[in-house]
Amino acid sequence: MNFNTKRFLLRELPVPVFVAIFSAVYFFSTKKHDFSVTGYPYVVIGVIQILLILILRNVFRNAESSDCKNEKDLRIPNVLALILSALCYLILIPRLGYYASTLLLLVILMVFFKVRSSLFLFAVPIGYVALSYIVFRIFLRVPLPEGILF
Amino acid sequence: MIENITSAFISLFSPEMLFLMFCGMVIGIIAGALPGFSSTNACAVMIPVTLLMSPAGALVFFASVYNGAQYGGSIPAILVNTPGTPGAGATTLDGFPMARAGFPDRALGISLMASCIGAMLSSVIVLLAINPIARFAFKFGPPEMFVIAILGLSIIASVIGADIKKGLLSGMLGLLIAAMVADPSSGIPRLTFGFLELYDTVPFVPAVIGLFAVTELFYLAGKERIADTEDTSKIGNFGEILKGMKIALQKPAVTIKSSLIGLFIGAIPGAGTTIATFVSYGEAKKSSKEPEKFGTGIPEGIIASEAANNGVTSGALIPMLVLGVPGSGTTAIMLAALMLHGIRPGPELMMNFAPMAYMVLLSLAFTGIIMLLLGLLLGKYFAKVVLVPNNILVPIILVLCIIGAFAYRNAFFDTYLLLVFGVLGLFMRLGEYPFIPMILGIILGPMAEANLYRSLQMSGGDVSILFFRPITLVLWAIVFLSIFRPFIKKTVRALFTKS
Repeated sequence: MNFNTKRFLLRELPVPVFVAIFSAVYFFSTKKHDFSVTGYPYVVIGVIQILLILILRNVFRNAESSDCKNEKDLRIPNVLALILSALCYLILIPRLGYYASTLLLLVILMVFFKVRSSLFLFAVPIGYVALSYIVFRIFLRVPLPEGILF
Repeated sequence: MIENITSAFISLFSPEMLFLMFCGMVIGIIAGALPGFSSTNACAVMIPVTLLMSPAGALVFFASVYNGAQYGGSIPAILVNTPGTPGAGATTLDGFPMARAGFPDRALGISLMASCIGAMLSSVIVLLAINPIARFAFKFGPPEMFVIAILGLSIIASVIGADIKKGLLSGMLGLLIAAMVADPSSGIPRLTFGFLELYDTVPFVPAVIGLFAVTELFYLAGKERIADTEDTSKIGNFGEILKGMKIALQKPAVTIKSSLIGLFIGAIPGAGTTIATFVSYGEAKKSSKEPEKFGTGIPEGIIASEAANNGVTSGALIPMLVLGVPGSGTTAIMLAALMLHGIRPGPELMMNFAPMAYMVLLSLAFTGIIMLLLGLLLGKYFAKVVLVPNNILVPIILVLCIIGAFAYRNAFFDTYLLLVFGVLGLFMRLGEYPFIPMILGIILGPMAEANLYRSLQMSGGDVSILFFRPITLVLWAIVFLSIFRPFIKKTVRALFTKS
């Protein structure tokens, strides 16, 4: 298998594999229910199976010959940084509160994305937090999570 | 009626009403521009404030917030591919490509003018025909609502993208995700993984923000800034906004048709803005001479979505004012606020407080003009967002997306769901699976299933109820035409060419 074929399969396979696993989990965990409860989703799962067969047949048929589009803007370290930082942020919000954890997340991400100016590094997070306090807390009165800080 | 309209017109131009309309419009635009916040959130938090106003003032204020939010939702949709409101989901399809190509002001101008015309046209129509429209809208029972959902799903055919199989799989996945919740007839949970948050509905706000915005962030993080073009002289340019407005004015057919679609679907309780905008977008694409250009940043795509979502505003007011039944989340809040003022909307309102009802509808038309002025004044500053370096913009948008998903139901669960949809969206984009069919599946699946169940209950299991009622017959004909129109067009053309 050459490099291009590998890249093509890595691009084409995740969604069909996810859909296949998701529909299998759906089917096996709802099998115990009456057909009146699961009839409609099972019809959908049936159609999904047919589509999966057609799509996978196409994928493997074209794997050798297909050209892979170059995703020059997509950088794996950036994607991972965004996902991991968002997860940490979600874990921190109930503990530190929305405003403190937002400040932290913005500074960390801006450092990761190489914002050089120290003025921006401080002014943007503080400005954003102050603005969001005015908009969400005072203006829209949205009950954002509070933590140990504020 | 003329007397009532005249009296409403005079009252509307009092300094108090003008001030309320302006404030409502500003609040609406801000709330609409924040992803996850909608006119419903904004109106809900403003209820205590409206207790200080007269009942008519409260209604006019809410109507202005509602109208402003519909336009405000298009601003982040165009500039950063993040729909501010679910109703602006379809605006991203052509708005963002146009902004990325270096014409954000033009896209904002098109959206502004289409929103303004959508709001004004639909409110004038409603003003003149509120009673017959309301009577017609209330002939829609579960069988008709089922066919409306099917009509919405038939739009999948037109937004499917290059590969039909991938588009269909995306739509089917949306339907299956929506069917994770409890069965509507028995209440038995199906695939909720024990999460109470999934028992009632799969929330579509985290799905929309996750698929569109979070996925886009993954790509934006690898770029210097949003605008692809080197020539930035046309960004933040007042002339470009005017040019965009002129373009929208030059396409009256799309604007009028989309406003009417918005008005009609908005008048059906429970149908919603999102369905209206996608039906309108699909219709514009199907009737276009260049359907292949939709999705690449053409004006018609922005007009179709924006005129429809502002058309919905007037439509949704009809059942609330005439029958006391809310046509949308925002009108439900308006109804509650009116009750706090001791007024029960419905036939009584139209009899005893007719000038007030007409004043609200007139205010929708007038706020269209305020929206135009505010958009013109602020548009060029909004547009500069595409020039902000992505290493500053991406962290801020990520935080906004997360807080938007949270604020929708005040649930942390939705923020995790947002990330799941974001990652799924990334793989879908890599594999070239379109997002829109999936969104349509998530929104319309529960509506189709619940109304199918109710219809069959009404008929004792007889399927013919779905087909042989006067309105369903017409709706099925529209569904048929919607799916097979390209084929029919081609066949008719071939026949004429032969003869």
